Amino acid sequence: MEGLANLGSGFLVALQWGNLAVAAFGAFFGTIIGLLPGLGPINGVAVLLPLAFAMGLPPETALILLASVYMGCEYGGRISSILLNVPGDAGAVMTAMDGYPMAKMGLAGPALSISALSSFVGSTIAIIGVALFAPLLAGWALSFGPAEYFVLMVFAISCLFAMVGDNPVKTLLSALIGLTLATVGIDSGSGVYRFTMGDVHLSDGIQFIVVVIGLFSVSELLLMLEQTHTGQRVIKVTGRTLFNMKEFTMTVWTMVRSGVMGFFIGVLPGAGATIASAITYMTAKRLAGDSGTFGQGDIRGVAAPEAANNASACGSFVPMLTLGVPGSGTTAVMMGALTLYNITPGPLLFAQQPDLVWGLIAALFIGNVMLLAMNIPMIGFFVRMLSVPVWVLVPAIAALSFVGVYSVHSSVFDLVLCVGIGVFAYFLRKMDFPMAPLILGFVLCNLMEQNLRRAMALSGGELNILYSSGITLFLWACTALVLFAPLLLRYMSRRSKVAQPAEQDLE
Amino acid sequence: MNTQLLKSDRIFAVLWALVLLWYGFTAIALQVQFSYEPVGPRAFPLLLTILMAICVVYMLVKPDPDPPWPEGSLILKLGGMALILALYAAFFVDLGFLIATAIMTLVVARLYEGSWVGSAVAAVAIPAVLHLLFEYLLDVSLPLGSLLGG
Repeated sequence: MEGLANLGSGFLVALQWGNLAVAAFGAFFGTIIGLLPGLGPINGVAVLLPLAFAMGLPPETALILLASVYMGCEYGGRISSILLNVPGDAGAVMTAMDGYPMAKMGLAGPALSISALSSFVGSTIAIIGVALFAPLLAGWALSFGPAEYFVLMVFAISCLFAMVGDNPVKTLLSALIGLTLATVGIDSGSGVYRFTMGDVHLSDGIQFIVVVIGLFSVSELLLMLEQTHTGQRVIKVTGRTLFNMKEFTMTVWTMVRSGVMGFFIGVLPGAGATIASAITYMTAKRLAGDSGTFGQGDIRGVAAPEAANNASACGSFVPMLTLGVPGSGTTAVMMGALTLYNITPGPLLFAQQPDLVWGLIAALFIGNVMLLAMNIPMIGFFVRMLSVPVWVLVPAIAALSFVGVYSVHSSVFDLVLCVGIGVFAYFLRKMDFPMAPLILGFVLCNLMEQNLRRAMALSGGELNILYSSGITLFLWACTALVLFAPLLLRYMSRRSKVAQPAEQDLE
Repeated sequence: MNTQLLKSDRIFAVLWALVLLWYGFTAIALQVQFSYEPVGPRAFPLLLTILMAICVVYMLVKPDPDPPWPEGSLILKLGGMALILALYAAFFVDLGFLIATAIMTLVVARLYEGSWVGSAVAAVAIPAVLHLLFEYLLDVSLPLGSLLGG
């Protein structure tokens, strides 16, 4: 089978010493970032990306580093959920529902170990899914022309519009702000300088890394200043540290089911770890019926969201690798990383850069095994990381971020701009503007505009090229579905809510 | 009722509308010498402007309730933090990584309620560790600064 041979050559890439070391470091660093409350995968990837670039790592190694950080974060998030009742990252919110009660009952050890195993099972299922589905999707996407691509990106942004946050207008505006920021600089189509205010520093556009660090590092540091510390105590891990056979048999199907669901949710652009873990938690709760003690320390309530958030993290690689359209904020940052190396993710990636793609998939397998191996015996070490004080953490993150930004272009202008964007992002985040659409818009802007213009050039300025092929019509239909289905559902549920009291009044 | 008129969403919408005015007019003013394609550099920014204008109008008409903005001394702290980061950025090269980071760490650690002793230790340890890490282990060069002979 061709796929297996490709995967084999991928393992040859991933098993090189340098790549193994990078994966181990990434997994370790990712777990720590994941467990620190307030810092999630996107912050970890944002800080490490410019450093990887500055160190001159080859693209596949850089991608392996970022991917293992991403997976490590999904593993790490559960630790603070279980021991502190504060989710380490957004995907681990549901884990706290049953993990913290378990820890209070003295079952912190089993909760931590079963959640590590769930993370492993979820990731494994999803990585197999990536290896099976990604080449198929890439093959289909090869027939895409500029018009199809433009509509695909409209679809990707609409997915965010429908799924992220409660305020669709702010989500849309957020994506548009991202697109706007990316239009600054020289226009590759005509050579005209746009919106540079005559400043030389802006003629190349706003650097991707400046935006990423500003959005996800500088603004995060400002937000951390506001978080009041409630003086929550870390629960000590006592008693047995490993789950027993009964707990394993009780959760194994939950893990598998949640892993499969998490993968497919992760593949959808826009729906990420948070949605996946919420849906699988609810499913596990419903399936357990009266036999469950969900909310009071049911071990299945720990297994389900953990399997799902890891699976969806891996699943979100699929749209990025095959279509060049990232499925989550974190993969949007990784896609930006690839473009720094002049690699355009998309269907051609599988044909042109097989080592990169299959090396990454193999590295996900290896990183996953490493993470399981780290997360069960070294749990004591990771728990101790929770007691690192914020006042050490914040200056360290600030210094790391600045080194990252500086190392790419050695420019003070970039550093100052980065702080400016960070302050702007602080206000946006306070006002509930989601950040994932903004970075997605920034990453996709150039592709979107160029594909639109190329499509127009092909048709001689006729707009109907955007809806004349079967694929474009299909994608427009999908776009309409994701945009209007939630509105319709909301309207219908509101109507039924309004209708009920009205009927009661009549009686 | 009077206070409800000035919501943060509305203030943001007005400010962003000003940005849009500038952005839109700059886009219209773009001149292309030769054009080989039907859609020039203007169309896409103008499309964005129109879509954002719709969002801005929506925010003016239906603003969200205000988020819990920081109050009192927290505003000062936030402003201070933003200022420190801006100064750190501005003097990153002139002072050099070691000195700039040491000063930044000392002030920021104090701001985040570290003790004097702890902050001082961090201010020595963080720049030293990162410097060794980047210069010698990872091969990323950092600005030395004019004081240390860079």
